[in-house]
Amino acid sequence: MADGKGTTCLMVILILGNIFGAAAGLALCALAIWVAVDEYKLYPISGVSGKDDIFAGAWIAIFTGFAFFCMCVFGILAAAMKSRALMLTYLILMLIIYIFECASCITAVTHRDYLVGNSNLVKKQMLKYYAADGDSGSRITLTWNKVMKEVECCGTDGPVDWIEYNSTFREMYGTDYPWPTHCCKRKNNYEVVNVEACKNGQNTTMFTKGCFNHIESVFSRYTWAISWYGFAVLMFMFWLLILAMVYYLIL
Amino acid sequence: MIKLSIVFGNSPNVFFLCPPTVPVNNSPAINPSSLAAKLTSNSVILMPPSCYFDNLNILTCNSPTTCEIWLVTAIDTGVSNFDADKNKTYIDTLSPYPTAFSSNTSKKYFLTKLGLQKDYPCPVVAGTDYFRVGSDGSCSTPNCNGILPVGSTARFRYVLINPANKTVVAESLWSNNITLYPLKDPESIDNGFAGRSASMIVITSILCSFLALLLLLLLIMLIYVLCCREEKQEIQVPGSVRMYDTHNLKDPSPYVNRAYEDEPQRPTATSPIRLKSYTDYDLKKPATEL
Repeated sequence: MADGKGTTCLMVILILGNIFGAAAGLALCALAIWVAVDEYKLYPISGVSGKDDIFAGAWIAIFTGFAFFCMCVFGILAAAMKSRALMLTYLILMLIIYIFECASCITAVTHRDYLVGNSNLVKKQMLKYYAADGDSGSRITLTWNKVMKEVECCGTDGPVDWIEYNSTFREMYGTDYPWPTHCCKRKNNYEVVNVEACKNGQNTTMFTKGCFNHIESVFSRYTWAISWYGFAVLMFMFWLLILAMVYYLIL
Repeated sequence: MIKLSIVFGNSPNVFFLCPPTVPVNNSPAINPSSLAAKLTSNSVILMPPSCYFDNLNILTCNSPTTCEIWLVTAIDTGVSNFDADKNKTYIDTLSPYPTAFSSNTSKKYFLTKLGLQKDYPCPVVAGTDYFRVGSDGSCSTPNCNGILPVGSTARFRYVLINPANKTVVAESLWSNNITLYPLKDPESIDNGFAGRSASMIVITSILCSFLALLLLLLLIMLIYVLCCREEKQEIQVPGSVRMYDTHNLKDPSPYVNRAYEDEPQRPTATSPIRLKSYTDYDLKKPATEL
């Protein structure tokens, strides 16, 4: 070939780049599996409101991450065999996977803004569905009970949410309890320390911070995993594909 | 009305003493301590009447073990209604809680018992340092501590009551107007688009532009490859000057074309067939490459 040495040099760079890309793609797949598993069990908050595309982005990323891995292995093969047809196949398939991964990143980050950009959506959902009947109501109630118990918080921005707004909970129990008993501190045997003081709002017997910070940080963590890491992988793949195109041209 | 006989010296003087309710210069207020539920839409937490009625010289109900402290809750016209009623006996029956706020013509005040005067000593003892109006919820007994109408503006007054005939013996001042929370409708929360964060703008714009760039470059590359690339391969005329040995029927051996004997490899793109010249078309002599 005319520039044999240049071709060999580019081939080596391409092979190394594809090895790194395969590792990155596999890591993306693993990270997306972590998001889809949802260890904090906050899916109902996004699912009931219909804004659950952070998890849709995670599912897409599982497949595109694995596809990146496979295609990069194929790319190593195509570069080593110096075959034009294989390189063209590699380029076109990588482009298709690139498009899907772009979609995953953008979807995840946009829906995070919808969901936890401010506390309104979470608050409205809590007031409407906590202690309500039906499937949505029971899922939201269980999720909030878990969050209030583990994070030691009450309400979205604070217990004052329960006082300021009408809610399904208030309509059922509002004559007696200003807020759910899960806002109260409990002893190790799960008994409430002091129900009367909790109803009065004494801050030694109840949780006074809001739960929104925790919910927002969990969803942000999931989103940064999918969208920012996906973004990094895509930036790397962009330059890899440019190199592959140059290699194809000089083959 | 209390009838007293006091004997002064020789002449009996009978005084009909109708003691007016003794005013006390305190007024109830919302408990200032940091209780999160001190003001809700249907209940209030007030300061207790701990030092209100202590230094009074009340002749009828003069023992802290007998006098009872009650709270009067009044809304709108209830203030004037109570003031008109307060000198009557059996004040606790005049406006029971279930009917107090039920219609436009009801009295709009009710009384509820806190306890005996001795239960609220001065200075304040922990455990009695607050009083929650509305702690009985939505109750139906005549003098229960029921919840107030949602979002109403109420005034409160502590009164000392003689349990014998339920008359008001002493009273505090009316509190200021205390407005309860009006309940807001959760549908009024606007959960529309919460705004764009910076990361969303960065990711979307950069990814979209890079994708467009990639597509463009791929397209340009494909067009270049299909139209404008010059062929760099050598012209090959495969095997047109070779001699072929005829197939020998008498010697049934596997056919070997001796023209290919000195070329053990198949021709490929990188090692195309090179033209060779056999002098005199004699395969036994060595060939020279053209």
